[in-house]
Amino acid sequence: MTLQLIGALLTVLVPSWIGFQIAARYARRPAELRAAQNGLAVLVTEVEYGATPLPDALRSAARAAGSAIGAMFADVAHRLEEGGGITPGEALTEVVAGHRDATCLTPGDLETLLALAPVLGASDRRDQVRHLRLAMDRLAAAEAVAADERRRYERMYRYVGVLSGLALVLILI
Amino acid sequence: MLPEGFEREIVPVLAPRLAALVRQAAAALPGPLEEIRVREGRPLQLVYPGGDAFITPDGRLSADPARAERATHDDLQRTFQLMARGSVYAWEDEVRGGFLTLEGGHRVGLCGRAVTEGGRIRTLKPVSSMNIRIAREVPGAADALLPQLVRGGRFLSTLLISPPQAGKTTMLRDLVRQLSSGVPRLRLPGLKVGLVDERSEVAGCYLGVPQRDVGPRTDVLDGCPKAEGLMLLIRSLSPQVVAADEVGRPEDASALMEALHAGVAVLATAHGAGLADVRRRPAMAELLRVGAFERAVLLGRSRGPGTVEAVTDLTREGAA
Repeated sequence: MTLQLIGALLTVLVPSWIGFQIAARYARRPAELRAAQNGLAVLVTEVEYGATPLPDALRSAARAAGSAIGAMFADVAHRLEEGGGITPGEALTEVVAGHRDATCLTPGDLETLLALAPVLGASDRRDQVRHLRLAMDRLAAAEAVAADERRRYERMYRYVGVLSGLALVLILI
Repeated sequence: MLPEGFEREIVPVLAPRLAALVRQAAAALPGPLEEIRVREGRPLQLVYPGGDAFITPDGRLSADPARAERATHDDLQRTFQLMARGSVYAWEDEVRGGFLTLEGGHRVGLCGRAVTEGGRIRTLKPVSSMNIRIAREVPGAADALLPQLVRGGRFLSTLLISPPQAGKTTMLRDLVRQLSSGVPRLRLPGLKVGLVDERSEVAGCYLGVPQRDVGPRTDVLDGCPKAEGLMLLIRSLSPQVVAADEVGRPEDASALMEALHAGVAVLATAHGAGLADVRRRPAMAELLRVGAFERAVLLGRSRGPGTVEAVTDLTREGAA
């Protein structure tokens, strides 16, 4: 009897957990898109008013962007400081590829960040700011879509998880 | 010969491919490496005192440009980005002025397509040609000259006149260093020196910090227009000597006048082959007429760069 109860509990918990995981991804994507915009906003300020060298500017941006996205900014800064003849664009490309699985951003969102690679640090202030603002606009548009999807799917996947667990138990009993 | 600091200061800012070629070729140069010249699509060139050589694809020296390795677009763009530490925007004014200063005080002259706006250069893009000038410090360059510029423990306002490449900046730097440190054998106490380094050539500032030894009592105003900088120094840093490289414009002259009236000694350099050349510029002629300078020093290359060809006592010359 106890064994049956434990089995039933597990059968409910596992699909629920999967459902919550999927729901969490929908919840995290708008937050990460927002964080990326915050990071880029700091980068714009550092570039435009401070003319701060890129590694330092990226570290400030990392602090503003929080954990998952901040780690990407910090990693680009780290790679630049390590040297070895790498350009900021190459560092960014490597980092986006490396962090792909650590974020909830879609390939389209990452594409927006990658579009900065050919210009990052490579031109004058005005040009940098223009490209960074463009990326921010695109991320803001993506954020609006992501927020809408979150509203629609986040709760749904939680219910689907729990309910499919319960359904399984019913079938198995 | 490879210059001191080559691995630490030059290698990290060259595209790795170029760094390897230059390292190998420069080690075989008969003299100290003075310039590395990189031009897109054209042979890589090294310059040393008294000659130059091209680099072959296997890193050897050759006099024949046809056998030399050529720099690619990627070489230049990568090197440019590395020199700007991935932050071209942070050196916008320098790039507009056609140069960058590297850590270690080495200077890079830039050339390429000028993007203009309202008739003035906004930026250079793309950069297609660069000249990396290896900075060499020559402590003691002014040893022989300085006694002639000091009288009764006081430094006399001096104008250094020299044609290009005759060691004007090196001499200025060493004079500043010695004035700032003090020279016991001349009974010259260490003086507070204010240096306006418009093109970061004298102190070789990197992020505002001098990379060359300019003495313990020297304040460096880096990247600042001379006239404005001289006024700022005189007003707020109470210098006993102000120093500036390549004066000549009317506004420079009026700022130097201000120094003169404030009782601050002046150390300045000017382009020219002699005093007569300098006098041809109206602003400088006026300065000399009112006695802003007590000594004029003519530099030349007759016994190598930095040769003191003549020292003129301007106080004795009268108002001529």
